[in-house]
Amino acid sequence: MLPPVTRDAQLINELYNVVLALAILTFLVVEGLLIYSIVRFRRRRADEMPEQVHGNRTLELVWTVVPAIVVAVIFALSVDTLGRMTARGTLSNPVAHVHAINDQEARRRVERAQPVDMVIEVIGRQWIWQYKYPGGDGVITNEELVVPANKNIRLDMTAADVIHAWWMPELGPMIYVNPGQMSYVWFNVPPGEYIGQCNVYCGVAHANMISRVKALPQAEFDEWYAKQAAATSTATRPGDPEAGKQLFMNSSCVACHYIEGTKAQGRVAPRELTRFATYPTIAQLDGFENNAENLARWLRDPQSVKPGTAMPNLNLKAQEIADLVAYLQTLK
Amino acid sequence: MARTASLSEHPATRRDATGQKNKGGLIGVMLFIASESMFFLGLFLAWFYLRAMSTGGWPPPGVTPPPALPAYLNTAVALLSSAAMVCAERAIARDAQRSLLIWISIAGALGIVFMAIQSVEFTVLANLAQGSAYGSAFTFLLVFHTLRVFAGVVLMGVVLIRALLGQVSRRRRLLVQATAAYWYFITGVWLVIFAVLYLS
Amino acid sequence: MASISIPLPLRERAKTGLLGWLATVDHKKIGIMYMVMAFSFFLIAGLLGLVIRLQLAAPNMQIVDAHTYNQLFTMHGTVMIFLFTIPMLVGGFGNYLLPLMIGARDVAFPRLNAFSFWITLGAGLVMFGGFLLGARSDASWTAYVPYSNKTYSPTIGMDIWLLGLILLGIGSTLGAVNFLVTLYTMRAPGMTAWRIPMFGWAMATTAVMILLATPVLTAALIMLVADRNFNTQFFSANQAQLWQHMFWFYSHPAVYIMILPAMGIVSEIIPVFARKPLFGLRAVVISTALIGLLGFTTWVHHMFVSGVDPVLERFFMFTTMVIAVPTGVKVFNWLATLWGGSLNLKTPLLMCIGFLATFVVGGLSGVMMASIPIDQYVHNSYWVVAHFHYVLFGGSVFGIFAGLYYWVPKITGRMFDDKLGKLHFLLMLIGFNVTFFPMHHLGLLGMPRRIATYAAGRGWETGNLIATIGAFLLAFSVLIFILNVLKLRNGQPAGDDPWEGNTLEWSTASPPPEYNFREIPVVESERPLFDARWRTSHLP
Ligand code: HEA
Ligand code: HEA
Ligand code: HEC
Ligand code: CUA
Ligand SMILES: [Cu+2]
Repeated sequence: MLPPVTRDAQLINELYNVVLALAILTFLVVEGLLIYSIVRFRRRRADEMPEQVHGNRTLELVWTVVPAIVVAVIFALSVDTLGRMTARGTLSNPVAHVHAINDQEARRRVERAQPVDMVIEVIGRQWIWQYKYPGGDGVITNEELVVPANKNIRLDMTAADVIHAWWMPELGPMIYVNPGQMSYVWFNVPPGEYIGQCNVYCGVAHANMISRVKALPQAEFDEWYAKQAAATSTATRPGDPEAGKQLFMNSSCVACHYIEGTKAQGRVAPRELTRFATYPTIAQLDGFENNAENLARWLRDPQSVKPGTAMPNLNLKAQEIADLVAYLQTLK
Repeated sequence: MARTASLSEHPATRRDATGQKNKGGLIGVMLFIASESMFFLGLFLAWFYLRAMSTGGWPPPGVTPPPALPAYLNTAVALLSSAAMVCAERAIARDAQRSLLIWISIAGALGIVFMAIQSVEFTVLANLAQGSAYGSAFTFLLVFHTLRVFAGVVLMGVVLIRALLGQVSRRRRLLVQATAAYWYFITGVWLVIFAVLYLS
Repeated sequence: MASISIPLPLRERAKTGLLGWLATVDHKKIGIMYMVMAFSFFLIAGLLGLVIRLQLAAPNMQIVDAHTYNQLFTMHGTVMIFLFTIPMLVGGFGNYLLPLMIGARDVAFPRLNAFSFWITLGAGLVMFGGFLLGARSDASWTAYVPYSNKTYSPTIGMDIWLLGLILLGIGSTLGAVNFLVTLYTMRAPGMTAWRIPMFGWAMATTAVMILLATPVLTAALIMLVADRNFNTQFFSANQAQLWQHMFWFYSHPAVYIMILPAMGIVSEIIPVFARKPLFGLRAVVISTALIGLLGFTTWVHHMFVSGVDPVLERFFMFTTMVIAVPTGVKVFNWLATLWGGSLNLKTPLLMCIGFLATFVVGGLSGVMMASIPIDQYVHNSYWVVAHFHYVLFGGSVFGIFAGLYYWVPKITGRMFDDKLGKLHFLLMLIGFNVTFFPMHHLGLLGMPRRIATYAAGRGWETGNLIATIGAFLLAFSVLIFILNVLKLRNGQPAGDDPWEGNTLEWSTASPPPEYNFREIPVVESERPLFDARWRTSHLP
């Protein structure tokens, strides 16, 4: 297993090691008996007639009872681990259960389950994770979630379309993120960068639905956050095609778009972007001329330009949009 | 080699010697019915699951359940029809061919009445099915039950024809027994549907 | 051996040639057709598996695009399970062997039997034809909603897939009725319950499971068809788990439908090749029935992270783990049968040993996943892919090959080349472990299943490369088997009883005549042929 960095992951890891040891033991017994029999009891003479043993009560009882005990031990350990995991809840207070989105009672139980320092709303959609920060600055990030280190974080997650799953192996238990329902995870991580990815098959670009968690010390986090909040409203410098290219290639754009000779090999969007700048209109929308201003509008919110389009709102920052526009206009 | 098993008792023998279907036929029908009940169990599972998961009531606000009167009528019809079927079975056990003809016709006619009454429900259900999970589950239970009723009536038609051709007798009544078993099963399913959909 | 004479039925003489096959109601011909069909599907699905492995051999490969990849693993999984393993074990071995083993001349409803086959083949052609013509589903073999809804899977491929499965369900339900009635009513005189061969018990349990589980899947499939085409609302809004419950209510029992007959085969072969009776026959029978029963109570272990109520989860964790006990009983009884025997290490027994050696690994990884916290780590990762290939390939497929090596001589009257068989076994055992063992590690390193490609730098390169190499070794071993089949026509004549078998099929000619037995045998023990042989060699 990947090295655990949270308490929950640590608990899972410990349980895994114990159960693995029991499994290996069982494995050795079975394979040992098997190999011994093959070597020892090979037929040596064609007319050999072994003793006709039909069974043995005592032996059979042994190999019923011993595995039963082993299994009981595994069960007990698992239940114990579950009980100790953060906010798994007791049997009468099942917080780890997925709840209907408007289930207020469940919501209250979740609030009570565990003291938290920060709650971030997560939306899983084909094929990107979006994180909405609290605080009313409208800060939203895609794919990468930046959190303060060593703080209790809770993610309130739901899906916009099909089922996705939140899986950060180093951070603790995986959980499905269902449309119309809420799922919750809690974690508290040391500084560092962690990677995981969507773990329920969700369509063409399921493989590209990466999730990253970057934990920064509080001071650095605050600095990062302030920058995000500022960038959300205005761009600080003119668009830079190189930065735009970087952004494009390292974000979910590549999941859907195709640009010859680059990492962008997605085939979701109907037209390639290889020669995008030569297209007269954007998104084949009559009268929506392909110019910088319209392109910025498109990137800011595709749905408002062309309702029902398959391109999601990626909640790009003003600066990011400027860079992307600059880059896309070089595609001739 | 001394053996006690009587040859004429052995099914392989009976079947091969007489070319007649063995008692396996009836067992087969029972097994088929078991599998049919699992199908309905699946539909009921969906019903109860959706009901448990629904937020805001069952039926949900704005959805009016279909009228219950036809269901009450049909419960009576179904029970009467099964009773007629019991009589038909008894009749053929006594080798009373004429009596069988009468009872099976009555049972079949009641089956047709059942479907006619059910069609009233369907006029309402057609819309309900598309509007809500409640309507969908409701409609499915009724539709698939009614399909079974139809199958049962067709079977009774076959019995009727066979009986008219003189191919049914006390010794060759597997078809009657099978039809009857299936018909009781259909009636039983209806009673559960009635209790679950209309009474609770 | 004692027997009774019963005149053959007055059916018209069997037709020969193509029509003889198309119109046949003979359980043996139907069984052979099932086997040929299933094996063809195995080769096709195996080829798809090879493409999958090529695509994953290294990071950022471009053998196929993501969309095609998704269609490939959907079809690979669906075909392997529904068109290969189940028809092979139940339709193929079940049909061919059941009547022979219980001393019957055919199944109870021969025409229904033929109907089951044709509807199964039809379903296969619908699904596969759709695939070839471009009507492909890409929703995976589990087809979770809402992804499989009209909104996210708008193409006809999904409907074709659903239709195919509905048809298959009908075929196998009717087949199950047929088997149960056959077993119940057509046993040879003297064949009491405890004298039914183990394979018969395995098939009986399997048939009950098919009978009771399949209709629930059929209901779910019809509901999804209606949602897609008639606007019903079963799987919309916040009901993501309804499909999962109904799907796994069938598909968990289905995994035992795929393993129990293979276990039955192993239980037949080991005693013959060890020259000992099956150790603890009753315990094996009872544990088979228990596995069948418990199999219905564990389905939620596929949903440990999908948000089921914790009380339910713990209950299902318990029931899932309990299954290890009856399964262990069988494993140890097989080992005890080998122990102290006189082991004739021919290919059929080697395949059984392969079964034991690898199935246990899959079983143990299964028990580990049954622990909820562990499953919260490994669910849907390559660990799961490793688990189910260990039980399905290591278990079912090794069992199938064991059965083929054991019974094809009876079916064709010719012996396989045993040397070639041993080579096949060795390469398959190695290739199998090289392919699937590294997948455990990949799963632990965080590699999810069903991804069309992956980026470099996450430690997944080596494991994937090894797995791909193993897959080709595996395919090569299958080629050796095909070669062995082709050489069959020049093989040694098998004679009635080449292995010194225990069960009734070895008392009739190879291949068995129409109607199997001219005289119906009378059964006086659990191993009628063994005892008959003993009597002739030991009595004056
Ligand atoms: C032939 C098919 C087959 C068989 C026999 C099994 C057998 C078992 N399976 Fe498996 N399983 C699958 C096919 C099969 N499975 C498939 C196809 C999937 C994936 C589906 C998908 O998502 O696509 C799956 C997935 C799957 C999951 C879900 C994983 C996930 O998605 O997160 C789980 C979880 O509990 C599980 C558990 C088990 C268990 C406990 C057994 C047990 O029956 C095993 C019992 C056997 C043994 C334990 C070994 C022998 C016993 C002894 C030697 C005795 C001593 C043992 C002990 C003391 C432990 N299986
Ligand atoms: C019995 C069942 C069974 C069997 C035998 C196999 C066999 C194989 N499978 Fe499996 N597999 C599944 C059942 C099975 N599979 C299921 C249920 C899934 C899940 C699907 C899903 O997620 O929805 C799956 C998924 C699956 C995956 C995961 C895909 C993903 O999640 O992205 C992978 C990846 O490596 C894989 C690989 C293989 C390989 C390499 C083989 C090899 O063993 C194949 C060996 C090769 C051959 C048998 C080819 C032989 C043919 C020739 C040599 C050519 C001769 C040809 C002619 C004469 C025409 N399979
Ligand atoms: C989930 C898939 C998806 C993602 C992610 C995505 N797009 Fe798109 N994009 C589409 C689709 C689909 C269209 C076609 C829209 C239409 O015609 O309705 C499109 C259209 C466009 C167009 C217009 C192309 C044309 O043919 O006129 C541009 C420019 C564009 N996207 C840029 C981007 C950028 C930049 C990003 C990343 C920041 C991005 N897209 C991310 C799916 C996506
Ligand atoms: Cu989202 Cu997979
Ligand atoms: Cu399972």
